[in-house]
Amino acid sequence: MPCLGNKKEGLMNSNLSVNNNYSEVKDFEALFKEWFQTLTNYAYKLLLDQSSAEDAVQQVFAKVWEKRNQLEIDSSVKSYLFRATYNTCMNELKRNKKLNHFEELAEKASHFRADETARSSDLERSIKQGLNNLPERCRAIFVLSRYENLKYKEIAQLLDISIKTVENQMGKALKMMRVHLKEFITIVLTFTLFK
Amino acid sequence: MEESKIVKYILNECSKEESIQVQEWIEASSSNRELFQKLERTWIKSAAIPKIEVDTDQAWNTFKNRNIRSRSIFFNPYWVAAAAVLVIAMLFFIRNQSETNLLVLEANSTAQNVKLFDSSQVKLMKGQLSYPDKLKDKELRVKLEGTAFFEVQTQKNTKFIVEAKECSIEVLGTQFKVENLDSMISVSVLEGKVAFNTGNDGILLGTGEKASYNVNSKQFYEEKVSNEFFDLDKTIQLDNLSLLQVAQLLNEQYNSNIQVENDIKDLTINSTFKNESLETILTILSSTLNLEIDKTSSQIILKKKQ
Repeated sequence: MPCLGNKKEGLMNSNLSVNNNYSEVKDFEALFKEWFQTLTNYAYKLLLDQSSAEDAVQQVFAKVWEKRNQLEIDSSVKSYLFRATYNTCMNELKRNKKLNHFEELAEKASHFRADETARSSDLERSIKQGLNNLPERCRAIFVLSRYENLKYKEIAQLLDISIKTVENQMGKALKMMRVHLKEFITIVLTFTLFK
Repeated sequence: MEESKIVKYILNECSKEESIQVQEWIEASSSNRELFQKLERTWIKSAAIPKIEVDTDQAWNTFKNRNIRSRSIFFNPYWVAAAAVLVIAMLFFIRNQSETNLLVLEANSTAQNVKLFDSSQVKLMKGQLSYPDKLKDKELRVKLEGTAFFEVQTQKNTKFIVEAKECSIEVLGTQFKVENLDSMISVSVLEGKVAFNTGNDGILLGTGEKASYNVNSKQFYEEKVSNEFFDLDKTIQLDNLSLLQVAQLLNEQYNSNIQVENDIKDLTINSTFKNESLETILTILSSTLNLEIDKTSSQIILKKKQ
C-alpha cells in the first residue's frame, strides 16, 4: 500500500498508451483489486450499508476509468481514491436525504434490525448507531482516523481542511460516540474500579 | 479542558507541551480521570466493528460489464457478430442499389443487335459498345467506340446517354446514329431529338439533322442526314449527287470498288433506292444515265456507253 505523500505519480503506469487497450485494462484491474476492499470498507462506515458502499466505490472507479487519460494526480493514489470515495458517499447521503427521507429511514431501520439481530453483537450495533448519528463530515473524519488509521495531518490533506478542524471534529465525534457506547464503557469502568 | 484536546492526547497527536498539559489535567481530579478513561474506552471500543468482506473478483466483473465491455464493443463477440451481419446486409443493399454490371458488345465484320434492359435497341455496326444492366442514378449510360444505331424507348425521369470520347449524346427522342471514329464523332437523327454535347459545348439535333464533332479542332460541323441510315433500312437517298459521290457512297455502303471514268463523274443524280441490291442499283443507274458497266473480279468501272 503506497503511503500518502506529495509525490506526483500517475494513476497507473504513465507509459500507458491509448491503443494498448489490453494492458490498460490489465493495469486498471490491478488498481481496482488493490483498492476496492479498502475503499468499500471506508464507504461502508460512511453509508452504513454494504451494497450502497459497493455501489459508491463502483462509481468512483467508473469515473477514474472514464477520465483515465486526463487524470493527473497531485497527491497519492490512495488519497485521490479516498477523497473521491468520500465525495461520492457525501453526494449519496445528500441524495438520499432529498429522496424520500422517511422511506429511507424506515428501510434502514428494518435493515438494521434484520441485519443486526442476525449477525451483529450489541456493541457493533451501538457503534453503527453512533456512526449513523454523527454529522456527515464529522463521521468521515472519525472513520478515517479510527478505521483507516490516518494521522490528523493526513486527514486534513485528504479532505482539504485544516488540522484544527480535524481536531475539533474528532473531539465532537468521540463525545457523541461515548453516549452511544455508554453501557459498554460503564461496565468496563466498574470492572476496573473493583480491580 | 476541551474534549478535542483529550482525544488528541489519546490519539497521540499532541506536542510535548500539550501532552504534559493533558496529563496534569487528568491527575488533577478523579472526575477528570473518569472523563479521560471514558473517552479512551470509547476510542478503543469503537474499533469493534468488523471489516466487511467484499468479493473483489465479483466486483471487478461487475465493473467490467458496466464500464469496459460496453465501451469497447469489439471485445464482445455478440457485438462483433451483430456488426458483421449489418455490414454484410449493407453491402448487399448497396450492391443491389447502385452497382451495375457493365456488359460489352463487340462487332467486327458483322453488325450486332442488342436490346438493352429498358428495351431500347442498338445495332452496333462496328466497334464496341459497353452498357449497364440496370439503371444508375436514373441514367442509362452507354459507351461507344465505332458506329451504332440507337432506337431508344424514352422513359420519364430517366436519361439515355451515349458517351463517345469527350462527347455525350443525350437522347431526347428515339432514333439516331452515332459514329465514333478516329477523330470524328458524328450523330445523325432519324427521328426525334438528341443533345450532342462535349464538356463545354453542345448542339441540339432534330429529325433529319446531323452533326459531326472534330476531336482535334474541337469544332462542330452541321450537316444534313443523307444516307446515314442505310445500314438500318437499306435506303439510299441520292439528292443532287454527282456520279462520283454516288460511287463513293455505294462503295461505302456495299463495300464495293466502283470506279467512275472522268468524263461522266459530274453527272447529277436524284433518286431513292430502298432495300435494293447493289446489282439492281447499278442497273437502274446505267440505264437512266446511259452507262456501261465493266465488271472485273476486283472492281466495277462505270463508263459512257459507246
